[in-house]
Amino acid sequence: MNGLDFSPLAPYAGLLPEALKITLEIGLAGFILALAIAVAVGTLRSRKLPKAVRFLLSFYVEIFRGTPLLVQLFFVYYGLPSAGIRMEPVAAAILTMGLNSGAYLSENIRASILAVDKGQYEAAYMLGYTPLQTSIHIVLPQAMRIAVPSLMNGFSSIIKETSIVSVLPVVELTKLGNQVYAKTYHPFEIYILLGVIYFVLAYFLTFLAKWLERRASKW
Amino acid sequence: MVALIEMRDVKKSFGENVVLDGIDLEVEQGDIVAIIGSSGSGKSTMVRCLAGLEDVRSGKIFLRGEEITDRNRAVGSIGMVFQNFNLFPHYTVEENIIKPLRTVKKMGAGQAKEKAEELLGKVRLSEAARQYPSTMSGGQKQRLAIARALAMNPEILVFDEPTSSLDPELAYEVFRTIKDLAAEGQTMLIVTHQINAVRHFATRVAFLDSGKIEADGTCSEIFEHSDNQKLKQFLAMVEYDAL
Repeated sequence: MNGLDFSPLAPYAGLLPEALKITLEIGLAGFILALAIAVAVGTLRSRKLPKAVRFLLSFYVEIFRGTPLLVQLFFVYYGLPSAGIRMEPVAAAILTMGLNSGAYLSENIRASILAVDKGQYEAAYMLGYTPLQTSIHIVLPQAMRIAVPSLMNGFSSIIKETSIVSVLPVVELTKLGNQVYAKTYHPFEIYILLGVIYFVLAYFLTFLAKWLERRASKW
Repeated sequence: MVALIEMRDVKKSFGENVVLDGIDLEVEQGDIVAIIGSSGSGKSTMVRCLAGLEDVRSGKIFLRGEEITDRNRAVGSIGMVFQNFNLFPHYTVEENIIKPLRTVKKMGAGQAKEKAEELLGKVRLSEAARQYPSTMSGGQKQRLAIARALAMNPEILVFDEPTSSLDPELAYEVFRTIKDLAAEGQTMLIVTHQINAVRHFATRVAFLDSGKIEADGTCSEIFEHSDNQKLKQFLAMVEYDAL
């Protein structure tokens, strides 16, 4: 093997910001969607619900946890148009990542909600809070604090999993790497560089998680 | 005159275990009723039924003559102070009072803050307004819980063993606050083991045994002049305990 030579990649450096932007866009929007789904589904699943609703929510969670992300992505992008639902590759990626991670994170949120002391519900009830107010003002803020580490893990996973979106016609980081590889035949350097970029992103999120935990720990 | 609170033949079981076996109790406006009795006698269950935290199996509960057995109509009328405080840990001391006023009573920010300042002054916690409950002593936490319950202007304040988890000097702080409230005419129902403290403020004492009120009267009637054997045994036990 010859020594590492990154110079053939230099002409393509200008394409990196756009690819990075798309990766972050998919990761961030996917995470926000996942969080919204997780809070809604996790909150509902922590309560006593009619059997049909319980079954539906459990069906969603099990389907998305029990099938490969790649298959889900293909289904949303290539499969749904047959049902008349067509979307841009970035939108399909965000929706799939959101639904997939939402299913996993909803279980974390549910467990965190169940970890909130029963006395909190009783105190809220005695003060006249409605069940919805109790969830929003009392239980969720405490559950979210418990869930911060697992949520940030989820965020980090989503950022890394965006690489799978390279199978769609969208030039995010991994796809850019593949394209540059096809032109330069320098896979070793390209994938080292890609790995470093993903690592830096994930590492930044770890720092963010620690900061959030510290912030939350003031109470 | 209609009693503020009336419990009529209230029964409650957990599975096969009968915890309340026909409770009859009337609480008048301004009464400070201490509920005493040994562990497992049903004291906590009784006040939890009254507060609506437990469903009753049979019997009726009235608030100013209006039936509240089937909850929700009484929400806000009955304030509760728990053994474990149940403060909201993510709110500061003053927010524990302000937020419920804003959320439940839809009170304006300025007015809620004013009310919080007034109540914190009353329970001697003004200095701690911006702290989080986790930084406070048990006695301070319980006084905050009292202030939080008072903020909603309840007609009756129910205490479920408010000092059981506190050291004696901290329990004293809490009882001092309860005594201040008694002087203001606040109607209260207090479940407690500390019968010596009760003598300082209770207008009535009810003794529970096996889910029934065995004796009900003034402090002097209950502590000094009762012939009830079960009560005498209980008092002897508590006095021995206090040695």
